[in-house]
Amino acid sequence: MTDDPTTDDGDRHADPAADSPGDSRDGGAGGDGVADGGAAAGTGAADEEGTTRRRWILRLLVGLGIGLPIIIEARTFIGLIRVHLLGQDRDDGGTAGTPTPTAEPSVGVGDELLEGTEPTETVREARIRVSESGWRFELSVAVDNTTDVPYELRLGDVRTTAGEVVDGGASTGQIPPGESAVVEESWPLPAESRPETLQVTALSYTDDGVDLTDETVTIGRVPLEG
Amino acid sequence: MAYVDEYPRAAKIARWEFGVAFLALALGGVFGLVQALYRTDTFREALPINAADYYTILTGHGVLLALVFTTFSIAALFTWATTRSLERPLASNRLAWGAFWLLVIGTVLAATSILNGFVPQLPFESSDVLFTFYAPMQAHPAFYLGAALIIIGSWVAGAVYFLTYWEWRKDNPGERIPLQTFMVLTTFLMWYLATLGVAVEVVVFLIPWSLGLIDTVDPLLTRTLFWFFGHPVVYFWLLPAYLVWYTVLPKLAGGRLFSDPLARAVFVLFLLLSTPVGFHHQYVDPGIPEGFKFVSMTNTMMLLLPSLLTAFTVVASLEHGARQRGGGGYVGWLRSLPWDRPAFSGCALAGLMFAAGGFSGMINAGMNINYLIHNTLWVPGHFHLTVGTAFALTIMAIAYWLIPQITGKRLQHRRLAMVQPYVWFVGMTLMSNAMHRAGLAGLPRRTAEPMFQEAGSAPFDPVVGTVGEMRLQIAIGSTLLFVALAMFLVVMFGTWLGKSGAAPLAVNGSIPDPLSGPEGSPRVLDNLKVWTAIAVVLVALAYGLPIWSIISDGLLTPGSPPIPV
Repeated sequence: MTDDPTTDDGDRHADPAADSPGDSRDGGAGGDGVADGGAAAGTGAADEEGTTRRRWILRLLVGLGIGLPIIIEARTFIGLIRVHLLGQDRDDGGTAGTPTPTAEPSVGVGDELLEGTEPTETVREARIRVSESGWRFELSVAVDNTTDVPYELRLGDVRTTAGEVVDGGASTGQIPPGESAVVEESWPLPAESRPETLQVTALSYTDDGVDLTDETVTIGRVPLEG
Repeated sequence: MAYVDEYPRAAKIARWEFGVAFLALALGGVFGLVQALYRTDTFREALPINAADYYTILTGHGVLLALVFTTFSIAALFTWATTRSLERPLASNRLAWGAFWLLVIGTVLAATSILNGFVPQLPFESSDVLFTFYAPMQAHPAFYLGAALIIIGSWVAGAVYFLTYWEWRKDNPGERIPLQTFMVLTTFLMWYLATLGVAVEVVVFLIPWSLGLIDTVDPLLTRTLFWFFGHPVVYFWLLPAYLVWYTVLPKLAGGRLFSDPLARAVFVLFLLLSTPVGFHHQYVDPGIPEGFKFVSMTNTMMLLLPSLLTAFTVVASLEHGARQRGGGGYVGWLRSLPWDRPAFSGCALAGLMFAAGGFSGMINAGMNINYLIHNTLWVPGHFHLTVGTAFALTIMAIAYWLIPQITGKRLQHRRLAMVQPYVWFVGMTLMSNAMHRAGLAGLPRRTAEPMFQEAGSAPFDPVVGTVGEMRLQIAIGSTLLFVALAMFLVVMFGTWLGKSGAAPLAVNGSIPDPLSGPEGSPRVLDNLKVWTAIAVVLVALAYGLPIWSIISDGLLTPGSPPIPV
């Protein structure tokens, strides 16, 4: 592929004089690019064949090089318009690679632990304390009893990402109507593992007895500290 | 007469500078491919790295390409541009070689400390602090020393261009500065101003900190000093590409530059506006008043003006060239451009992709909308369009035209060269498009483990396609980029090994006069002292009060001890 004048590009002109200012069609005003960039002037059959081949390659290159990006960007643009302006569903049915993983709804700092209950149980702090003695998952939840009956929140067992269940048991005790309380608990974790779910129990002490809500809550990403 | 015959000493310096640049490009390119495959979980088991090594790879990729490849390439290009346009040799070859060796020593120090992450037997210690090497992550002192030497080396290289210009000025009083030299000088004035920040950061804080002479540094202050340099460095990469687009690309297209004064105005605007914009990298940093972030945003948006002027001028020049070649119609003239010449097609495609990079950069620069994509894959998607294509592809393209001139050897493997820019363009489109989309979905950057599937992790929410599809697209794109890089290196290696003088060179460095020359434009455009003074004032206005506010409680407080990496 070397030194074939028909496939030359950067240094096509064997004759330096052809590359000099004044050769331009621009009235001899100094542009030398015309001669520098003109089509190969092969006169023989071999030259003609080479020129044809090069043109074919060039068309392919320009077609793919410009066409593919246009297709990709157009598809992206249309997708954005479809979702953001026309409000249509997102394209979750990609055909290549793995599908988009969808995690379960999870709770983190600032979220409500049990959305189905009337009192609010807001996660105040969640961290994994890392020390030489091991990893501990620490959780603090503020409970605001907005009902007119006593209310209690209990934090139970934690299941880790390694599948291990760690015992826990902390309670706010009975919170009188209109009052608030905070419950804190910590669970020892196997190193390198994270809390995945938490067992939570809510009790409302009504005149008719105790209404019990028992849920397994998925824990969001908890930062490491220490 | 070829450039190498006219200026043999300058040509030798440029050859060595290009040689080191291409070595860095090769190694950085390998790192880029490994990094992309690891991150996208493509053949991960077969890769010789683990998650910790990923950051070594990432640091090596960034430093070798964004600092080393760029600086050496720019030095080579500017050596050629200065001597060619002033029609005289460099004022001091000794100083130019001094700059080269400073750059080499700096590169060796920084690269060795980075590669220590793989090979602990190497001197120094691991320095996986990424290209953005601000505190509190701490590198080995050798890394900082290396970075400082690279900056100082670039200063010395710039001093050689100024000395050469001053010699020319003595012989040519009253003449307009030749356009290429004007571009070199304004670029370096901007560079001198911008690198003050990183010089202070490294010399005053990071080196003493890494040596244990001071216990803590203020992360906000060092980040601010880094970004004082960290955005204008983008223009240090782009302005050399602009030099090529303004002065060489029209010739390659068969025409002439549309307007010399417009080109000068553009470079003056970049000198004025490049530096007082760094806070737009720190929108989420506390401790910087929002008002100054807003000022930074407006300055950044004003940078669109010279970019749009460039788009107009360069496209007009190309159209003129195409019509000289017989092209016609509103868009039909595009077909008359020499798309089979890699020097042309590479530069044209680089410019096209830079336009896309400019649009995504507007999102980065917007104070409110930046929060949507901050620290996501959008950001590397953006800068792979700018430095990764606008600069890198332009340098590769112009190498096809310039290397024969500075070596005296004909270009080899020309069909490979003809294909290469298109492969790069398609590869970058695939990779960057997926990165931008992934950024919109919130996928983080700078992490080996993006936590796609852990229970409880926040679900990513792609607008178009799926996360899996984006990862595949990134892997395919990066592989194509690596293939294009290998093609380029084969062409360069083959040319370098070619026989000098075996055949007459077919290119020359003559550049036709612009359609509209500098004669009728205001002479104040060439008054570099005035523009430099205004640039300094703008920087003082943008940075004076915020930096005073940051250091008012002490230079090193609130201090942060090093975070081991």
